[in-house]
Amino acid sequence: MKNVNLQVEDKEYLCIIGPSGCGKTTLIKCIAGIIKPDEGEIYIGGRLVNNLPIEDREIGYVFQEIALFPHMNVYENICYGPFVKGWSISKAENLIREILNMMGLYDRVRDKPDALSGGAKQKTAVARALVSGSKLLLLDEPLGSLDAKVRRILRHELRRLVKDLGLTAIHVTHDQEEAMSIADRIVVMRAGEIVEIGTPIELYMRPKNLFTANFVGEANFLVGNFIGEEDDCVKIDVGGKTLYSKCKINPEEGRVVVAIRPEFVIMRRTGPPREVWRGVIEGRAFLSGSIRFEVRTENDIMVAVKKPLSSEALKFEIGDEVALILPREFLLIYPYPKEGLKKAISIE
Amino acid sequence: MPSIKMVNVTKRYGNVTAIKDLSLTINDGEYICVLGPTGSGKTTLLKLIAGIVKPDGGEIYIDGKLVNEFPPQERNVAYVPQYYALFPHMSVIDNVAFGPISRGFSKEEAYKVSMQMLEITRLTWRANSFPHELSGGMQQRLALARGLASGAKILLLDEPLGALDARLRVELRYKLRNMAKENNLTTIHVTHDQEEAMVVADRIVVLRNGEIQQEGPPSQVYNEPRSIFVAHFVGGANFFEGFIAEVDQYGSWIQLRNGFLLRVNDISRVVGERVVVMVREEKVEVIKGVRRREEINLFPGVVSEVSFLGDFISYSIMLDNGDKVNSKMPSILGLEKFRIGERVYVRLRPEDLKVYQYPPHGLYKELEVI
Repeated sequence: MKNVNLQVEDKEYLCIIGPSGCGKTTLIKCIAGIIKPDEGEIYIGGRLVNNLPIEDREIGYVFQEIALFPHMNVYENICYGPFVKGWSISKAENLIREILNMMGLYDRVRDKPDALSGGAKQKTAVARALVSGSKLLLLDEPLGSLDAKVRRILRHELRRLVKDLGLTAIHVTHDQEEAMSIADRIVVMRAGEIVEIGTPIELYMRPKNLFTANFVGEANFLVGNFIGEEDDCVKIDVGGKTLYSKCKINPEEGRVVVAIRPEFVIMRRTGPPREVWRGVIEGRAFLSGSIRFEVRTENDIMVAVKKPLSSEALKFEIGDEVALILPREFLLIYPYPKEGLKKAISIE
Repeated sequence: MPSIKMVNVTKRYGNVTAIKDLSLTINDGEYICVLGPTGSGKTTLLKLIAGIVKPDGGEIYIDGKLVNEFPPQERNVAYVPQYYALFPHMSVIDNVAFGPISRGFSKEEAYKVSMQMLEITRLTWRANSFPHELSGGMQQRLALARGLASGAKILLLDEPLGALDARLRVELRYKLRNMAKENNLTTIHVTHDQEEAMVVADRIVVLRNGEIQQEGPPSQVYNEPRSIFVAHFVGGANFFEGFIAEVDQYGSWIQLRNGFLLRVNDISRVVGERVVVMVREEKVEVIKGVRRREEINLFPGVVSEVSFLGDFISYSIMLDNGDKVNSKMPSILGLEKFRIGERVYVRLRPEDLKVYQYPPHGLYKELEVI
């Protein structure tokens, strides 16, 4: 981790995303006190905690690997924290009951972990992290070991719990869709540094950085040259065709990268010749709720296009000739990166 | 040419039946995804074909030949397990070349093939590294490259993208399919991720408790799920509980919670029958403002949650009868369209609604199994 500056607001749900090895787990472990920073300060609730051991930081911590005591039932597992802290259970009882209720675990309190589904086990682990009354919840890939379907359901329950209890949550994940669907703000990390911070919509619709544009969702990247301005738009030449964008750019850039998300590309049978790129559909795949096409254009560029599932979209087939429109309001322009495009967007 | 046929195959571990009387035919060159929750028998199915476990009953044919008694190495299969064993003392390229060399390839040929496989799995730049120097995802790709280099025409993949970051998984799944198709491989790919299955498969086999729930092309499994389980597991679905109130020539009326009446096209039910109605999230239309006229299947409610998914945006609506509905719409149409707490109407088209018999152990239990 290199010179990271980050402010997490009270009651915020913050997600940290980035590829394997980007430092996101190190970051959360520094906050938890599991790892000590070599330099810099960490404050929780205004208090410098660099030298505070983990048990005094008043945080709840949930790992990817579900670690429950196999010989204890759900209730005993959850009460373990207060018990170790020497509290009487009655002191924590109201909170325990509230959390059990909110998480739908009330009927399962007498079950041993073995009898629980993966999702219920991880809920128990979250409940255990919360009953000590911590206001800061650190979640390190909390859904990572679960099936895709369970993960999609549980992520919303997590957010609801955090919001209903008025907690601050820092949630590390490699799954950008998970982060987008639950975070108030997202921190994008790469190689130990913070690349960009923003709301899900900001990062998806107007990423400031090429890496972010690629990491938070699929995008087409086209290399082109700045050729001038017209009607409040910049004009970019890509493989002999002209594209217009509403983005502002320094005219001295010359070589640029144009990015557009597949669902913003308009695909029709025909279109006005000046604005469209002709192409042929070479690939088609079904996603849930949409169809993704790969179109080879007349200037020999492969463009991914997504259309919502509909009877109209289903009529487009491999081999069909189509016309693509790349709408100016969705075209993002970036200076061509010094390290090359491939390297700039690489997620490995 | 490599085809696979399983006839009435059963596999037990102690008193647990992992695969129950299962029959399945896989055609030459087909890309099959076996989809199911943890514990559904997916891995056992692969191991049966690979010859790592033996069936307790039934027959397995590869290329029309009964292989029940064949050891793994004589089955023309490359099995890439979820937890793979790489040779720790060998470099990446040597790990891959081991198979071809032991099959009698010259060193030169073996390295040539292996470099191609590393190219496909995007590991060329790590050819001289050792396994322990690679990330989990790279190790998984190495295991895949090794399986590919074996030259077998049947590829058995157990969660081949499971250890990868979500974003990388999305990129590599297309490559995986293209690679299998270009090399004329017959592929069986096990996954718990329904979207992955939809994208890569020619045909999806949905497994639950060792039995096939449904098999068919992705669009068919998605659009025509035969059971509540399949509808829930393959894609986002809303479920409503109700009773059949009336059946006529063209459809039925279903009484939902607290008196809401829902019109469906199904005419196969009887009055009084307890049912579950399913609608895909992207088929739920949300409308602003007040009700203009009497219209069927138009229900008032309040927006309770908004969730941005990138290309889609999802709104949760609490209907006035207490039922909750999720609506998924393209971001380009739905961004910042409704606020939390806003009163809206939800419109459901009868042709988008599927009716199922109420499950014997209750709807909640049926959905919770996952």
